[in-house]
Amino acid sequence: MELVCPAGSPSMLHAAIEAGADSVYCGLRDETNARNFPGLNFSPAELKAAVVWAHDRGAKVLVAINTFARAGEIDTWRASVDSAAAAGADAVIVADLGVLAYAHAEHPDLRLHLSVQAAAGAPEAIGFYAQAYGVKRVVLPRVLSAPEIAALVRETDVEVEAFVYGGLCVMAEGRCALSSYATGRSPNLSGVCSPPEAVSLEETNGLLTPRLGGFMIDQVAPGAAAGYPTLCKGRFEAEGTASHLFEDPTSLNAMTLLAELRTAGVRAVKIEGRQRGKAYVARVAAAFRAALDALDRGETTAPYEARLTGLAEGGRETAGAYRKTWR
Amino acid sequence: MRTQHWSRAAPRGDPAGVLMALRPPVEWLLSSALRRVAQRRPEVFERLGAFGDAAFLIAPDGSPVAFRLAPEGAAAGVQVRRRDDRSPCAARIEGPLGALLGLFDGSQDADAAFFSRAIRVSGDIEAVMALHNTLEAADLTLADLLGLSAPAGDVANAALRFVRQTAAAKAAWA
Amino acid sequence: MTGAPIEIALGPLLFNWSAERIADFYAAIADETEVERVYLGEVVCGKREPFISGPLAEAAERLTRAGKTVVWSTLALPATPRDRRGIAQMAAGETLVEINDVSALAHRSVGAPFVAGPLLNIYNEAAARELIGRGCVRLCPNVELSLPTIGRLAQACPGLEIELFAYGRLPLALSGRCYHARVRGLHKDSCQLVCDRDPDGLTVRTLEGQDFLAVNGVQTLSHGVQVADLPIAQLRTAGIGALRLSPHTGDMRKVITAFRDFSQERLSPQDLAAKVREAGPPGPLVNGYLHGRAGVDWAPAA
Repeated sequence: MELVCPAGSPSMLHAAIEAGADSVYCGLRDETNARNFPGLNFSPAELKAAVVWAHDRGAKVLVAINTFARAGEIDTWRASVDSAAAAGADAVIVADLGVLAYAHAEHPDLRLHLSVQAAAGAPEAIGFYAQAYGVKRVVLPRVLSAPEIAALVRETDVEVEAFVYGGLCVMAEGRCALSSYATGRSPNLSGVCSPPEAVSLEETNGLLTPRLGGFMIDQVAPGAAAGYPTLCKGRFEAEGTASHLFEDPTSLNAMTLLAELRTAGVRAVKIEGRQRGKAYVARVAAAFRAALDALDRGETTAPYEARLTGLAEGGRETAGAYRKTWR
Repeated sequence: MRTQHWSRAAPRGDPAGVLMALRPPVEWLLSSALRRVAQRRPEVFERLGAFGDAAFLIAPDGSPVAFRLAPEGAAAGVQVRRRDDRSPCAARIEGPLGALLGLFDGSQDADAAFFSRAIRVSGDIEAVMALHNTLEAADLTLADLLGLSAPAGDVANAALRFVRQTAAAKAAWA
Repeated sequence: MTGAPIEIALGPLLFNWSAERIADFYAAIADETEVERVYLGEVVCGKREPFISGPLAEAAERLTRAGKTVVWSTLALPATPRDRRGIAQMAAGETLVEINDVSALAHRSVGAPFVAGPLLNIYNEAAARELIGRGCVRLCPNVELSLPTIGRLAQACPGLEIELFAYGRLPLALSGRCYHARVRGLHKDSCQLVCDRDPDGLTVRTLEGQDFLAVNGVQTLSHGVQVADLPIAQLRTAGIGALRLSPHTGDMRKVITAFRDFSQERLSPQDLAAKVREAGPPGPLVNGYLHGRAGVDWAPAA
């Protein structure tokens, strides 16, 4: 299985590849990618240099152009596809039908991966994208269980890539407007979820109150770990009970399921977190590299499973939807 | 005597006062380090984008003074301020100096660095993220920007030692 | 009044109502002369389908007899082989359907007409054209889009009918996880369909008691209720040909009448909001998305 790691900057790309990534994915420094955070991502020139650097080391570069183009401004997204092609990217990761159509028509040799933002979880949807736009690989939404992924792989000719580590979207990606409801900006509209300019953090007597767009997202006791105030990871009240209603502040860690995913025929496994920096990617990539190599030698991944403790959001991890009890 | 005006503004027993009095040479040192980075690697600050001329007040816990960092733009430089300085800035970042340096030097996972609770951020979170991502992407550390270069673990002490020793020396001359 | 009249359409019922409530509701709608088109079908959760397909089929019969156009809507997030078969069957015919998941396109013959629902990700004219080429005749844009954005899209796609999500709690997100079950300590696979207790969704509040969202099984909606109270001239300029009203409890006939009068400029935008409030909407009114702002915002008509 191919190990696909995030790169929010050239230095993070270097760190990921040096730690054992087979491929890295990155975005251009604009709203065409779904991690449009300030200070992150690549200029076209940086992308070009990164592709050369990666290819010299036998690694691939996948360029995420995975937001939905704004009406009347599709040229920006087309330009990103052109930049990726010009840089010699190994594939572009796309969600928007209009962008897919453009890439397919104008760059027939450019490999197309369907972004998780397209939320294509059914074989029929995947088949549609393959037939209409020549999509070669689908990044699965993080709502499927491992047996469902196995069933899906059996029903499609398209390569399957699955997230195995990092921030967990509890909603079907690309079909969530929670962020824009509170702030006006969302992954689909602006490539950013729970945007930092809408975040405020108040601390009174050690009690930390994160707010998003003015809405109280949580209250964190003195000394307790706090995660980035993402709306769906917040604590809310329903039926008189306060809870992490949508998702606990955990992050996905499916290392224990790597063998199962491999048997299921998953072609590539993906690490989330372009915004989390080089220290993070170096550690996660190295751990998953070691685990995948162990599987190749016919060994178990057990010795590597403890390597990632402490990195998880709020200090906790989950196998998420891969285990059906999550639902 | 050249040092006299410092001593006038630096009553003994008031460390903030002493450090404030020493502002000109310290600021000159820190600002020239920042400008050296900007000259050597002009592309670095492109990443700041809309936050190019933002200013950040960095206030190490236990330090009587804070550093006002303006990475780019006409006012690029580092100024020494009283830690209760309330002049306008994009964001105020407080915490133990070691944690502050760790926040920006890429040795910690970004999310963990931000939300470890050791560091307190107020003001424009987006601007702080921009600064963080910029330094991380450039393989620069806050120590580089503040003109302090030593392994991250030692930088905290080194920086404080530098400031304290300079202050003590200057005060003694007065 | 200028141009063709703006149609009033009733969107698919998003909530798990009892058979009796469904029958009563659509009986009243059948007698309601102001509605031209009614969407029927389970969009949110395939587990509800066996319980509501009977009542909905009867409703379809009754609505058709009353002269309404009935359009069947597909499920939005197929989760099981049965869900997928349901979508395939609905999409396989040639009659007009509303498609809410791309998987339906795989079963649709090219050129067979369809409505692209608001849960599809159509954000621009290039994406819309891809669907038009396959038979899309009408688009109900994603609720995140502002009116000027919808206008730009519409202008670039002449002939495409645009139906604006004009009334109701905003459908914001879908998940593999059922929040109704989670709130009650149940698991999705043995959920006992507890979503039937909240006919407008279950209110979610912040820790300081501020009403915020509403959960409806695997779906999350806004707590606030969208009211597209923009001047009719602006709606027309943006190419809006129909207003979609999403079924809720309260006096839905009053809501329909208010929107009809509004669409025919017999009711001002201010009076529309007042009339809708009288009808007992499940939350405060919002319209921020249409103004390009946070969806929760309310900008009263000037």
